[in-house]
Amino acid sequence: MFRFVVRHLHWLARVPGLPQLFDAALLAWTWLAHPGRLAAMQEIENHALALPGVRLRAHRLGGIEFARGAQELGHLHGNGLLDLFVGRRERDALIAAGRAEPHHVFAQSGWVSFWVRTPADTPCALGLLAIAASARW
Amino acid sequence: MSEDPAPPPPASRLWPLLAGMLAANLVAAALFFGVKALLASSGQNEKMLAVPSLCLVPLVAGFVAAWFWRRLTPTIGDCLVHSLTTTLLGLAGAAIVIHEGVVCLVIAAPALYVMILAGALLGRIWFRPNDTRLRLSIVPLLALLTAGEAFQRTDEGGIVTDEILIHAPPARVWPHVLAFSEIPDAPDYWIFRLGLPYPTQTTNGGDFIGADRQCMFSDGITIREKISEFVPLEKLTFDIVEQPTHPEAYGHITLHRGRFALRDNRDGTTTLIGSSWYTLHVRPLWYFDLWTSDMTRAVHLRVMRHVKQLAEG
Repeated sequence: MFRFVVRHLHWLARVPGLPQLFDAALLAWTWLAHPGRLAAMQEIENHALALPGVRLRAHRLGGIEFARGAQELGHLHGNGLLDLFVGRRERDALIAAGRAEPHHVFAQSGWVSFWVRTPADTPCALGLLAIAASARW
Repeated sequence: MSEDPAPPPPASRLWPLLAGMLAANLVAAALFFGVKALLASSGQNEKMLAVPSLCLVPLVAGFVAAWFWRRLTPTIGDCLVHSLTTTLLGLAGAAIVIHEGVVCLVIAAPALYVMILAGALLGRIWFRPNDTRLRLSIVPLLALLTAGEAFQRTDEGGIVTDEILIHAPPARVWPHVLAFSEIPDAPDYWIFRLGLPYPTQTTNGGDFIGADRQCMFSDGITIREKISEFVPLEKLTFDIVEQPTHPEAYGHITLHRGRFALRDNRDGTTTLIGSSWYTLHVRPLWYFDLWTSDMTRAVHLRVMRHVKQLAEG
């Protein structure tokens, strides 16, 4: 569902508020179908907020954005998909090591995607978040 | 490091939570009735109950709730739970104050919840205690947008068409299209079982244009119709002359006309085509039209399957 919307209905993201509504629906579904994932998502948010200078923003394509100043470290969608900017060199190394996937839309960019599916994924997600934080430092 | 203050102890969390839920619903009610009154004073849609968009109103409600909850620094899970409670409170209010029907509440609930949740999640981020920017201005702006949307809106008509194959020639189908006895089958569509009136019988006042028809529904509802097109063995069109006053339909939808068309397949079978024209007054249109189409289809099929049974019997 998420992949279909991102791939075929991405033009709808231009409608103000619609990505946020879609993300709220994703989050409600996550709560219903994967309640354990929410705890992991909350822990990632708490950890991000504990990083120096990091604050939350509403991501323009829906979800929670982690930002330092004007720069975005990454964002977490309502379904648990974590997108992070790590830079091209780190990206290649992380993908080669199987620690992250190419970004689900911009596969050739310095961004990576990571699925937070269960609380067991939290340590990996936090490791990636630390790399993203140093990439933007 | 994060500068968020520590959340208040549990005992003092209750009042801001309740205040947020109540304030959200009070603002939503004020918007709802305020816009309705404005429209009535300008002579538009006087009889419509659900005038403001059920997309924008709950979004504003979510923002308002988040403003009251901001010092509690709610988690994602808190937003999910408290938005649900706020939604249930609003639905209970709608049932008590405007006597909204169960089916309408069930249909509206998922949309309302997601909109309130979206507002609460955005508000959770925008109204964080350490964020000094004045973000509350979004609420009056959204309220203005809600009122403006209702005034700018143009009603769009919808049509639902269904067809069914009957193993009988048109001459055997036609009499049962004009009128049929009481449908003995219990409703099998889940929304009918929930309380939406379902068709039970149709009477016919004559076989000519201008003749009265009556379509009877469960709950004692009768929809009065007048024949506007009469082509024997081919087409029967009727205009709705009196709208149903049932709480599940009143003010939300205007029924315009219905039509049965018979297509002779020249092999002893007939395709019966049923169509209904209506205008929905609730928004977001795409959401409520999905439900309306589904319910109209269920009404069509209940009648057309009965006609099929009678014609083939």
